[in-house]
Amino acid sequence: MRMVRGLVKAFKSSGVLLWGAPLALLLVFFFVPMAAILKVMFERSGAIVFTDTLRPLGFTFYQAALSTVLTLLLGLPAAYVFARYDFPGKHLMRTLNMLPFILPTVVTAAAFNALLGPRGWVNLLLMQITGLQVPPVTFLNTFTAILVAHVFYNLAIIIRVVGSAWSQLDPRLENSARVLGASPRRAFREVIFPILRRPILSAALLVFLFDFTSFGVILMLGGAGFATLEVAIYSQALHFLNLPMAGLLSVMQLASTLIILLLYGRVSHGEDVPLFPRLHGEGTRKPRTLLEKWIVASVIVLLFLFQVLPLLALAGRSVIRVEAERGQRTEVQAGFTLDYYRELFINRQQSIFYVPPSRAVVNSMRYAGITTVISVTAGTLLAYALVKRPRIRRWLDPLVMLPFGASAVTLGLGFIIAFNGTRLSSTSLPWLVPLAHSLIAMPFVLRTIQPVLASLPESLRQSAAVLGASPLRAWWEVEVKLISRSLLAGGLFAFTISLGEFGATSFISRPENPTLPVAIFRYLGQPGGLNYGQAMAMATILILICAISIALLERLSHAFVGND
Amino acid sequence: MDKLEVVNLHKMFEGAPLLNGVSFSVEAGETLCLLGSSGSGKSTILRIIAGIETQDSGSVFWNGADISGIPVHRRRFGLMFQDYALFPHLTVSENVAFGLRMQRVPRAQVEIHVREALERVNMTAFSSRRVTDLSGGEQQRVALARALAPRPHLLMLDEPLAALDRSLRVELQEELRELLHQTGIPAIYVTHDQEEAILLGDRLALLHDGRIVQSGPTEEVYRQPANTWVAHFLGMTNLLEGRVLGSNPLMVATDCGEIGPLSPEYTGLSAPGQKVYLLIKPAALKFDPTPSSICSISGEVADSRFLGDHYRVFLRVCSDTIMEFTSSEPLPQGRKLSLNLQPDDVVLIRE
Repeated sequence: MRMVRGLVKAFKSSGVLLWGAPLALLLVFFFVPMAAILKVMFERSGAIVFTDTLRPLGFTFYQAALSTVLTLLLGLPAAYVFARYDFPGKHLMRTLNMLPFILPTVVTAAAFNALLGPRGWVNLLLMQITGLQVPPVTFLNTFTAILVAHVFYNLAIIIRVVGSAWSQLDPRLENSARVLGASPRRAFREVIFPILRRPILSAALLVFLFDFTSFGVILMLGGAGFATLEVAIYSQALHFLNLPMAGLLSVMQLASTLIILLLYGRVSHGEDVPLFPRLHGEGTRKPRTLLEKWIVASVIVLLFLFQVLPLLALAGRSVIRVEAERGQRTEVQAGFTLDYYRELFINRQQSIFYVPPSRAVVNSMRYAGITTVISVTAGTLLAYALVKRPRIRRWLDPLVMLPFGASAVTLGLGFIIAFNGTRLSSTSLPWLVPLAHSLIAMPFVLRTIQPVLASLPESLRQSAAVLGASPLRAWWEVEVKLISRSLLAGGLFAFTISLGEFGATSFISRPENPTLPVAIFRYLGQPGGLNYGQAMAMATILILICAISIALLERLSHAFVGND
Repeated sequence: MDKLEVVNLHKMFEGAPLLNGVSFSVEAGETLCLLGSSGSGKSTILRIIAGIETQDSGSVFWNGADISGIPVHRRRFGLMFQDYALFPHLTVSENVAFGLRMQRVPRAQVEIHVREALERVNMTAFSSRRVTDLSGGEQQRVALARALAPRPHLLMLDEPLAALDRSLRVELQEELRELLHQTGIPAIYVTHDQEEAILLGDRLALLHDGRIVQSGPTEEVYRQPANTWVAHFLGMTNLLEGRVLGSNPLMVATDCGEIGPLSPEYTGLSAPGQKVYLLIKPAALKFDPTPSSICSISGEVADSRFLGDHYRVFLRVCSDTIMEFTSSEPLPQGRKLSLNLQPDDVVLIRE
């Protein structure tokens, strides 16, 4: 008992244990790889052609900016509708809207492939009707595909960030503007918009950041013609084996994302100042006029087309056979089938590189489990350090958020350079995958737990102490139980992120030990209806897992507020 | 007999002294009201007694023993926080049971004590409700039940009614008064509301500039405020500045002329030539001169305000000093009056 007390005392007075361990993790597995990239770049700078970096750099900014504008164009009206109107199915719509955001990019690519690809529903339908032999709609490998996919999975950010700011806006602000003589339009322009400007800007920057670091979507939907920095890093490293060039591109990528992050930090700082607590349901109502009904209806239809239809197409494609298997001379047997799912667990040893998909499922689950444990533990410790020790916070906060800005591909590249010498093909360290995933997931976990921890009034713990609870007991009975929901939410986040992570995994996973997204990517690239169907089946499994986790997250966040 | 003594507490806050030698004591069976303006450090004193904060210097004694080294959770004091600090993840009865569980009271006993505590505050019907679903007044009752259930040796209440609306506050003041007297636990009640302090406190302690400037039985403090700050704080605003002319009989020269002879109890308090203040009690609006009058002050009605069961009359006297009096009937503005004071109407306050 005395030893425990001594430990607690040392723990309290130094506090190093609290944040030292996760910081060490960060230093070793984030900064060492980054340093390794720099080292390679400077040591073998002969292989670098500077002019080759300009095209990807320019294109990255261009596509990110355009995607952001398009996302805002659709997202702002949607945010308005969600913040101000009640309509049937609103809750479900909100959950569905969140789903694309956490979907693996590979699944996004697969979904649009299933809807608009050469073997997608639209083309099959058109070919059936017109009798054409070639798919009439070209969607894959176009710039449009990149933009559409970016809108698809970033809409949720605009709707969440702007919509929640909008709905939390005290309606009395607008009311007093109206009472003071402002028309509805004027009240919007002079009161609501200035207050919302900050959330809009910070949401837009976040979308820009995600578009900027987007990898899987560009690789799979854009094809060879469109190289962003991420894709260029990937192909320089894995195809041309030009590590110094990949390193330079990584540094440019890191510098750009750092600037965006700094801007974001500046903009989002103090974002919640003009918003007041509200009564539940205050400020929302059913659409009344014809115009309002029209706006609400068109937002719902657009969201359905953009976000739900591709997923339905994907799920449909995984259970319906619509074409003959390659090499089969038989008639097309269209109809419902569970073959694609069954095939996942059948070991057809056709090639030495063959890996049964069931192993990918097992790998993904195991990695996700380890990632959850590491990132929740480290994230919680860091959250405590940030909340309870304001002096450390100033330098620790930007430091731990850095992996958030570093792209997954950069991280993956750093991992293989730092921990695997120059052997690009494989790594003998299987725990590198969950470690990379943990670094990517930790900022999310941290940002889930930190605000809840910070919002707990000090008086709760003091009150437990006055009532006779020892410090350890007070922590357990009050604090842990109160943040348990956000711990769970952070864990779900980490699990889902790990399950879908593609950029870093594509570098560091061993060919014989792929994760689900890596396997989907491989199967999509192989010919044949069976491979295509299996990719669809695996992607559908991922969608289901993500949907369950999003539904749970929604429940957790609602239940936590208590009065919602 | 339980007794808490606070001796010479000092505490700095953000580089400035917040508590500058605070001393007072509370005994079983009495409620001490700690009065002071907001930010004066009242809550800090409670937190030091509870052990949540530590004093820079000074001591807290419980039954003669210094408890400064005892951690919060072993002091067995009850503290009701201003924002109640109810645990949002527990139900009403779980909140009330918390302190008992910490003392490892057997489960069956816990249930009995919780029920008793909830009965005391008339909240039995709410026992399985979530505390987040309760109104402010209901939360206040639960917080009180939670503080009382573990039978603390000392009960501290930090502005427990500040967050409630007036009618509820008046109702709960009565209930609290009864409860505090029933339990007999020594209690410290912090407030900045003097009406609440009069109603609830057996004794008052007034905190100003980091010190207890006056403490004593409530009536005594009201009868004889120690200085002008206390008088002002307790709502007594009719002050006349003056200078002692002679001590036997005690006469004071003011802008309104010489006033005296004052009650002989003040003789010892003042020497000729000393600057003093005379506090004129608000109930002293008497117009007819009587043989015992010690002076007659003439004035003019500046305003008269209806306050429900009486009127408050503002009288402009002497050189533009405004004095407030109560009257059962309205007085027209501009009416000239002369005020005839009895010795009992005038309190002498040293500067």
